[in-house]
Amino acid sequence: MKVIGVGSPHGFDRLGWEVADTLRNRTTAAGWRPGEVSIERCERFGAPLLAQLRTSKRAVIVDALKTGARPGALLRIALTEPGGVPCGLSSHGLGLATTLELGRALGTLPPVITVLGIEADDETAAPTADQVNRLCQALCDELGYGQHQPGMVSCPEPDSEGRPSLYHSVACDRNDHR
Amino acid sequence: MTDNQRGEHREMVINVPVLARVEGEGALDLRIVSGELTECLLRIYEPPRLFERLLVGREFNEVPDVVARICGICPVAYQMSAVHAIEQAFGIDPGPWVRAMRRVLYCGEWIESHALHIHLLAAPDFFACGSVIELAAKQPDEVRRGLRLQELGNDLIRLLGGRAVHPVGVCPGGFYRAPTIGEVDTLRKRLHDALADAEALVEWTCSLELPVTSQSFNSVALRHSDEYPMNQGRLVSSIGLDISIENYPEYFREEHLGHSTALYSRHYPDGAAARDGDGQAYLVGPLARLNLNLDRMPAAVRAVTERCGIQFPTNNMFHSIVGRAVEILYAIHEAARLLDDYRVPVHPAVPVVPRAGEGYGATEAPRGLLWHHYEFDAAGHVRQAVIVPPTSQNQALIEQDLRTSLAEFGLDRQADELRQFAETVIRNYDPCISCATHFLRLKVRRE
Repeated sequence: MKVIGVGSPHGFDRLGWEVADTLRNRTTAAGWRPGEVSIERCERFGAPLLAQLRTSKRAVIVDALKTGARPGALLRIALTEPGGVPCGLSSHGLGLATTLELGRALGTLPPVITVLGIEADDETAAPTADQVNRLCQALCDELGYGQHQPGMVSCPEPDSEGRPSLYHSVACDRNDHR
Repeated sequence: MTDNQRGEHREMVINVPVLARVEGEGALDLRIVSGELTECLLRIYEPPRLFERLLVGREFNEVPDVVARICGICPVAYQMSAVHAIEQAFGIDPGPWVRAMRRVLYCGEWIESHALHIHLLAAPDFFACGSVIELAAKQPDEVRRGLRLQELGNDLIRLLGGRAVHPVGVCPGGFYRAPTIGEVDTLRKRLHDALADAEALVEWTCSLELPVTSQSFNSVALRHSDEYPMNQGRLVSSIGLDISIENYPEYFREEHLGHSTALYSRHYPDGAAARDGDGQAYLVGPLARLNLNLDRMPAAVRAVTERCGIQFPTNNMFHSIVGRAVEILYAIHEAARLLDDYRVPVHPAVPVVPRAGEGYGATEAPRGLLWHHYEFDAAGHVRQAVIVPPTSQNQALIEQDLRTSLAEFGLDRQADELRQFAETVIRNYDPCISCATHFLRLKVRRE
């Protein structure tokens, strides 16, 4: 079982890394057995994330999300069906959705894969301790180590073009240009 | 979309208002009147050079981390050109260990960037696929191989840069940290194992049904006395240029054109760049490097290239994808060679004492020549910075190529075909424009 916190050092996009780091220090308190759950950071979608996913049977990806849901909402997306993923995104913006669709096409995804995240509001503001803790608790619930988190949204609203908006990570790969 | 023809007169306007997700924003405007391409404008609205202004007043050791943010795909190139310029300005020689490790780091970026472009951006064009996801259904093993290579490149960058995106390990004088023997051994083994993948990749790109075009263009790249150019050398061209990088402003000039906020860089072979006049379009990037430096490739790489039957120098611009594959093979050879001799140094960087002065740095980014010039005050603060990236250097040639290639392709074709072919031509240069794989939103008017 693998938990992958996706993010970067910038703003709300730190969320995935913060959750991974927090959980890494809490595994004992959460009752996790050593070796049962591997917790990793991921800094880039595409090849790096697919490589991290390849070796696990079950994975939970934790990320800052931008789906059109209420800002601050806790989101859970279970990947069961393909579709709804906008293709043709650029490499710079090769996001989580496209990466997972590519992994599905190549047959390299774990059989069970879930995305947990929080809908971003101000993308430039770092996540709060409360948001990190809520997501950690949700992750424990997801993995069967705690109580279910009330208020979890399991089906984000469609995006502006009517697609069942999967998820667009916030600032997944910032490219500042001259 | 409308399509009207009146007698012999046929006018078609292909207007692409927004090229999303490029380094800056861009568009493509084509106008075809009575079978003639009367307008071909590649408009890239790169933001103003805020980075150059942002650097002014900053301390020299901040520069590598600031310029790394210019591009998420080739941050190492920006760091390399910057540290070379800084060290020249301060009279620093970082020594052979630093030089070798910078080359390893650069190899990582070439592998990562080229693998990404070949598989995620360019190759789908040659299999009638709209994206790498569609390509994965047709060529799954090849896409998996490409992702493996890309990840190898990322891990090489991580080894010396601390992280693959906007690495932070580079400093003037060397590196903040030297990798351990164990870390290097792990990657060294992977590099040797990846040689078979890279050779197969070269063969695969040579087997693609690439468009055949032949046009005259001037290749420009660094050339080193005894190695394939990466971070040092003189500046040469296929029409006989041979200058030191400090003389670049005499032979190349960036200029504003009305239809684009991006600067166009043009070549003035007579050294008259400071004066008015028409400069020439030119090519930088892997094809230019190979056209000018095949003899600097190790025999093992040349043998693979020759076996595939593509002769360099070549005038077929679409051989760029083969050039990228050959450079991946080279970069794996080179990184493995350099890491085979790896030792942990006493210090991963030499001390740097600033002084007033100026320095130049020109290195070969994955997309081509990246030229930097800095002036510093006595305390090492930046007084002036000039950065000329590969994309602006190729922009004039992309337009010239579009005119030639579209005419060869057939201007009487349907707008969709023309749009698709134009995209393929543009992507072939691997400008950051090509990162927007479906950037052409068409509006066609025929009268």
